[in-house]
Parts: sequence; structure tokens; C-alpha cells
Amino acid sequence: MNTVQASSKSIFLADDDADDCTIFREALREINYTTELTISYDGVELMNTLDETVPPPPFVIFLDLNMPRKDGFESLSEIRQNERYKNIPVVILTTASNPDIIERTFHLGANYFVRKPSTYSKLKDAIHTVLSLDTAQLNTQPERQHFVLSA
Amino acid sequence: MYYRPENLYREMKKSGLSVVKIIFVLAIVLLIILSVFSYVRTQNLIQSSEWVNHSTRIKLNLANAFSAIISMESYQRGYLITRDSVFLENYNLTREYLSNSIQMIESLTSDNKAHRANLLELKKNVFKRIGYLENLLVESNTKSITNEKMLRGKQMMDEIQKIILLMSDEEDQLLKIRNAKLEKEIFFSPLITTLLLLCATFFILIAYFKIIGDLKESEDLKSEILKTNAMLEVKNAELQKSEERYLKIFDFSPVAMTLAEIGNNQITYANENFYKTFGYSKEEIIGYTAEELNLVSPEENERLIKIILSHLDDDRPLEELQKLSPEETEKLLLKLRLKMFKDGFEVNYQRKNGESFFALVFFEIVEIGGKKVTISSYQDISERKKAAAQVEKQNEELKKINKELESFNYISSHDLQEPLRKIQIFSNRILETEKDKLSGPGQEYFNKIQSSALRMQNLIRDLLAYSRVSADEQEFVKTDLTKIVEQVVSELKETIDEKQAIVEIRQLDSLQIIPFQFHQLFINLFSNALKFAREGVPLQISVESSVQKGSKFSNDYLKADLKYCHIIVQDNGIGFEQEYADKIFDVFRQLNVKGKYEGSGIGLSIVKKIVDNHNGYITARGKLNEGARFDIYIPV
Repeated sequence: MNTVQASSKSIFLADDDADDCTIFREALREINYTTELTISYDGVELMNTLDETVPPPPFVIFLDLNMPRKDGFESLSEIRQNERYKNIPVVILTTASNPDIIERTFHLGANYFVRKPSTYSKLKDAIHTVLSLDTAQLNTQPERQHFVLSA
Repeated sequence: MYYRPENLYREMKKSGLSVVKIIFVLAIVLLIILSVFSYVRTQNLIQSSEWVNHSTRIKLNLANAFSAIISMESYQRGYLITRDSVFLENYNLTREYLSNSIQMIESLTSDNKAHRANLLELKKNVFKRIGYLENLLVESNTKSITNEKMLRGKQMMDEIQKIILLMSDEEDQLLKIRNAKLEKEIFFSPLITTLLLLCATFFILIAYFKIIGDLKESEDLKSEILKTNAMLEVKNAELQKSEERYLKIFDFSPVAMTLAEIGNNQITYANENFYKTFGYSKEEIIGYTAEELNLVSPEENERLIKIILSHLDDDRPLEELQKLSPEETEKLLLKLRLKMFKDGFEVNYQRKNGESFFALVFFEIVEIGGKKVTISSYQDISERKKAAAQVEKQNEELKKINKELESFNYISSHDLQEPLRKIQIFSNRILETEKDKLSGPGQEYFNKIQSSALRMQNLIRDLLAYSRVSADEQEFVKTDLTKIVEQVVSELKETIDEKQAIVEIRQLDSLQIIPFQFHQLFINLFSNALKFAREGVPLQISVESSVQKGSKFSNDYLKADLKYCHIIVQDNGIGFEQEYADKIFDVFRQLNVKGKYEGSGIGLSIVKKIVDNHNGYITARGKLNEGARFDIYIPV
């Protein structure tokens, strides 16, 4: 857990890859948003964190799909089926980008899909794009063709 | 068809008989009428002729009477002249004769009033004349007879003649009428008789022909019956032959077979293969039931009984069912055959040596020699079962391999890309943050690491895509191509912007496709176009479609009367030489030198594969430095 400022946007990241978490944190810091990043290393941990902290709900959850114990799909469907969490925006952040995976997450109710970029600057762009959306925009699932954010 | 000549014959005979009967009755009635009529006619004729005879006799007697008087007159005269007593004798005889004649006339005319009056007059005159004659005779003994007295006698004679003529005339009148009547009778009686005879003959003739006809028909029927009988005999012979043939087939069948009597279940016949399969000799089998021979183990027997009872769905206990009459047993067997043995039933049998094996059992009920028997066949399926088990095992293995393949796909899509992406992101990070500390060649090396990693990333992604489009059948969904193309354009937005390309989406149709595959198809075609843009020329990509009959396109691979959705994707990029148009779709085929245009060489192969999956056809047309065009035809 990493707390920056009390009044800043609360962002959750669930990813089992420590390198990716480090890069994500650096990118977030460089973007210069006042944010509070909470990292969980798998789905079980994420659900526990949500259980402890909500309400208030986080501004957005960045969710990796391939995780031990409880993967991203399970976590996503649990979140969408839970009255307390179902309105929290979820952005999928993953390496896998098969069309069927995109389709599955879209139907499970994810708000956006971001393919993990292969350059640091693209990652920053992607995070920036998500954080620049307001709560209302984030909360509505876009049309299918705008679901995948290019990065 | 079941042919019954005897019935037909009976029918025909019945109707024929009634007609003949009617005709005969008619003929007999006619003949009776004829006889009566003839009799009456003849009677009339006889009567008429009698009446004629009657008249003739009256006339004859009248004439006799008259001549008798004349004779008496002449005998009297003779006596008077000669005084010979002979004349007197004759006179007396004739007088006797006269009285006889008059008596005759009297009896003949008793029915005729007019005659009777005349006859009285005649008699009076005749007696007067006789009296006068005898007076003269007596007188002559004493005195001679005067002429006057003789003339007086003549007067009396004239009187008599007058009466006789009158009577004769009258009788003539009657005779005339009677003769006419007789003639009529004589004319008509034979005519009517002949007519009736003809009628009778006609009816008898009809009856005759009818009988002849019936006889002929019955003859025909008889010969028909004979023919049928002959045919039946031939059929019987054939049947016997086919029975023999059937037994031969039975004997030489490669499947073990038995015949068993319904009722007592005893095996009456078994073929060679049965003995071979079960390991028994003929003596050990014939006359025994399967149960007695222990062809199945007690456990298997129990299992079979349970299954049989459940199929029969009969409330009666097993013991009762086993004691049923052959007819009822047959009914149950038929039910079993339909429910349980339709596709054969697997039974675990035991050979004589104790070895157990599985056989697929079929049975059929037939009649042989008037007895209902079951023909059962036992197909040894041990080998088949072994093979099936083998296939099952191999299928399991295949499933396992498939699962491994799937996980390999997942590994390559995720686990393999993950470290690669990290190589990229960290080398990129070094280039960004530590650029100043790196020498020129050092920076160059890092660039090479990056482009190699990118190539590898593309390769992995495309290989994965290629294996995915070859995967199992997917669901065909009616999809609007416009939506897919828009999505693809949005996904490729960054590259499109980077190349300052213009994508023109024209008229597009909706059609039955596998959506994600078409998504991949457009991604690949557009990526291809973006990759091969000409330097310095703004890239233009256009996509459109239309639906038309195959005959509208000049393409031999398309069926003329099938409708196709024709999709065209074209660009104004570097194009290619037309001679490479077919090779362009081969896997790992790259027309360009490595390095200048990055690619895996799989992209267009995937496109072709997707088109194939949709039973479609794709062609590529290119002109170097002018552009490329892809024509896709998908049947709708």
C-alpha cells in the first residue's frame, strides 16, 4: 500500500507482475496527477482490499487478467455482481489481446481495455487518457469499437 | 396376392344357375300354355268338324229318307202291277229303313227348333204318304186304282220333297257357317301352335347356349385352377430350393447362428461358425437350451433377465412368463426384438473352455416347416470392442494434447509476450533515460534490440492468430461489416494517424460470418496497406461491398447461380507485381526485403484462411508503385 495525498484520486491496481507495478507507479508519478495508488498482487488480495476500503469507492481499478489464485475475469465478474462495487470503473490492463479475451471482458462489464504497451511513453499516454476522463465518462461503458484504447 | 379360384367359380356358377333356372321355368310355363292352348284349339277343331259331320249326316239321312219313300213308292207300284209278294217284302224292309232314317234325323236335330218343326211336318207327311200307299195296296185287292188316286200320291210326294229340300237348305246354311269356322280353325290352330313352339324352341335354345357358355366358363376356370396349381407347385419347388439355399447361407455365414424352437427354446440347428465360436460339438448343442449349456455366466444371466423384464414391462412374474404358450412367447419375443434387439444387443458369452467374450446378438422369428423358430446370430465383437477401447484411449490422449496445445497458445500469447514486452519497455526506458551515457553504437544496439523484439512480438501474435482461425467451428452470426470495419479503424487509429492515411468506408453489407475472424481479416488487410504505403504519397484505403450472383463476376471458381458478397479492399501503396499475386497468400512469404517492411509473412495467409473458413474466394491484384486490390467473394 502506498499513500500519497489524502484528497487525491484513489487508484487501484491489481497485477502479479512486480516489474509492471513498478513501471506503472513511475508512469503515474511522472504524469503528475495527485493520486493514491493501491496495489494488489492478485484477485483475492484485490477483493480483500475492496472489502476493507469501500466505501468510498476508488476512482478506477486497473485490472490485469493473468493472476494467481483469482484471475482478472473472476475478479471482474465478482465486482460487477456485488452491489457495493458494481459501479466502480474497471480498466483491463493486460498483455494478452486476443479478440475473444477482449470480447469476454467487454461482456463481463469492463469499462475499457488497454493492451500493455511495449514502450514507457505509450503506457503513460494510456494512463493519462484514462485519468483524464471524468467519473461519468468512466462509469458508462463505451460502444464496442471504442472499448479498446489504443496504446 | 392370394388367389381363390374356387370362390370365383362358385360365384359364377350361382349366377349362371339362376339364369338357366328362369329360362327353364319360362320354357315350361310356355310349353304348358302351349299344350293347353293346343288342346283347346284341337277340341274346337274336332267340335267344328263334328258339327260339319253332323250337318252332313242330317243331309244324308234326309236324302236316305227321301229315297226310301221313293223306293217304297216304286215297290208299291211294282206290287200293284205284278202282284208279286217280293215287292211287298222289299216294301216292308224299306219302310223299316225309312223309320230308322227318320229316327236318326230326329235324334240329330233334337237341338234345332226350326228342324224339329220341319221334322214334325215331314213325319206327318211321310206317315200320310205311307198310309195312302198302304190304303192303295189294300184297295188294289178289291178294285183298280184310278189315275186320280195316283196323282194324289204324287202331290203328297211333292209336299215331302219340299220339306226335305227346306230342311236340307237350312242344313246347308249351317254347314256353310260350320265349314267356314272349321276352315278358320284349320288355318289358325297350327299357326298358333307353331308360333308357341317356336317361342319354346327359342327359350330352350337360349338355355342351351347359356348352359354351353357356363360349361365353357367352368372349363376355363378349371384350366385356370390347374394353371394356378401348377404355378403353386413351381413356387413350392422354388421355396424348397430357397430354403436349401437359405440353409447353405446359414451354414456358411461368417457369423455364429442358431435356430431354436419357440416354446421349449431348444436349439434345433447351429452353423459351423457357432461350434467354432463357442467351442462345442454338434452333439453337445442340439436339443439343449442356451440356459442348460451355460452359454452365459449366472451373473450375466441375471443381468439379462433384469434388462429383458424391464423391456417387457409385464406384470407377470418370470416363472409365469417362462411357461407361456408358444404363441404368447412369440408375442413377447417380437416386443423384445423391437425394443431391445433392434440394433443388436451386447451379451457376454462363455466359450466351452471358460473364456468369456462379447457378442452382438440379433434375432428374427421365422416359420420353418410349419414351426415358429428364432434365428439368432452372435457376432463376436471382442476385437471391435478392443479397437473401440483403443480409439477411446487415443481420443483421451488427443484431448490431452489439445489441452496442452491450448495452454501452449496461452503461454505464447501471454507468458511469451510478457518477457518480450519487458525487454522492449526496459530497453526503451534505458534509451530514454540513459541516452546521454550511451555511445553511438550503444544506442544503435539498443535500437536493434527493440526492432528485433518488435518483430518477434508480431510473429508471436500472428502465429497465434493463424492457429486460432484454424480452430474448431465457430458460430456464424449475421453481422454488419460497417461495424467491424469501424472498430478496426479505431483500433488502428494510431498507425493510421501516423501514416496520415485516409480510410474510406463505402457501402458495406451485413452477412453471416464469424465476427472475430472478419475483424482479424480487416485488421490484417488494413495493416498490410498501412505497412506498404508509398513514401511521400498520402495513403488511401477504401473498402466497399455488394451482393451479386456468381455469374456476374468473371471468375471460374464461383458458382453461377449462387449469390456472393463481393468485398473490395484497395490502396494506393507500393503494390506488387502481378506475377506474385498467388504467392502473396503463402505462409511466411514476404515479397520484400527484410528490414524495410516489418512483417511476419503470415498476415495475408490468415486472411486467406478466414476467407476459406467462410467458403469464400480471394484474389489479389497489384501493380508496382500504384497499389494493391483484394477481391473477396463470400457466398450469402
